[in-house]
Amino acid sequence: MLSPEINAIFFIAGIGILTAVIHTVLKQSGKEEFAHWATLTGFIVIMFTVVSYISDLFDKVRDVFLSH
Amino acid sequence: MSKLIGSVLIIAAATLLGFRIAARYADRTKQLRQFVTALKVLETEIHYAATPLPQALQRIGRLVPKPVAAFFQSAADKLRDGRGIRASEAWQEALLANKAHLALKEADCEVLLNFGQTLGVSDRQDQIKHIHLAIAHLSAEENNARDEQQRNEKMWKYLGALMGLTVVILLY
Repeated sequence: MLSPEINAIFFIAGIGILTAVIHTVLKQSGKEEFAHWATLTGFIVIMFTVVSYISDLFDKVRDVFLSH
Repeated sequence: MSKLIGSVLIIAAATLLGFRIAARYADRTKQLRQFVTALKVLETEIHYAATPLPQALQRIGRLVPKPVAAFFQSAADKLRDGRGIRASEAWQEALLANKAHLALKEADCEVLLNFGQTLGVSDRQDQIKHIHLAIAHLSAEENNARDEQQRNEKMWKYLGALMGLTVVILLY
C-alpha cells in the first residue's frame, strides 16, 4: 500500500517537524547553542537519507544509459 | 504490531526520563529551602532552648519533610550511638550517607560540609553566627537553583518526549 518513497517523505517531514520543535523549545529556555546543534543534527540525518535516494537515482540513470 | 508497542514503550520511557530530570531541578530548590528552614529551627533550638545537639537534630528530623529529614535523623542517630564521635563527624557521615537521596549539587553539599565543621565546637554566639553564614550561603544557592529550575524544568519536560519521538522516527 505505502511505497517506500511515501515512507521516506513522511520520515523527512517528521524529522523536520521534530527538529523545528526541539529548536524552539531549546531556544525558549535560553540554550541557543544547543538549539543550533539540534538543528544541525536533524539536517545531517535528513541529508544522509536524501543522499542515499539521490545515489539510487544516479545508479538508475547510469543503468539506463550504460547498459548494452 | 510489535513495532507499534515498541514505539509506545520508547516514547513512554523517554517522557518519563525527561520528567525525572525535570523533577531533580524542582527537588533541589525544595530541599535547599527545607535545609534553610531546618537551620533556622536549629538556630532557635540553640539560641532560645539550649537543646543538646542530638535532641535538636532529632526534633528537626521530625519537623522537615522526608529526604531532608532522613539526613537529620541519621546525624542524630550517629551522635547517639555511643561511638563518641564529634558533631562535625556525625554531620559529615550523615551527609555522605544521604547524598544519594538528596537532589543537591556538589556546591550545596560543600556549604553544608563547611557548616558541619563548625558544629558544636564553639559557644552559642559563635554557633549562631555560623548558622547565619550557612543560611546566607544556602539562600544564595536556592536563588541559583530557582533560576536554573525556571530555565530547565520546562525544557526537559518537553525534550524527553521529543527525544523519544525522534528515536521512534529514526528507527521506524
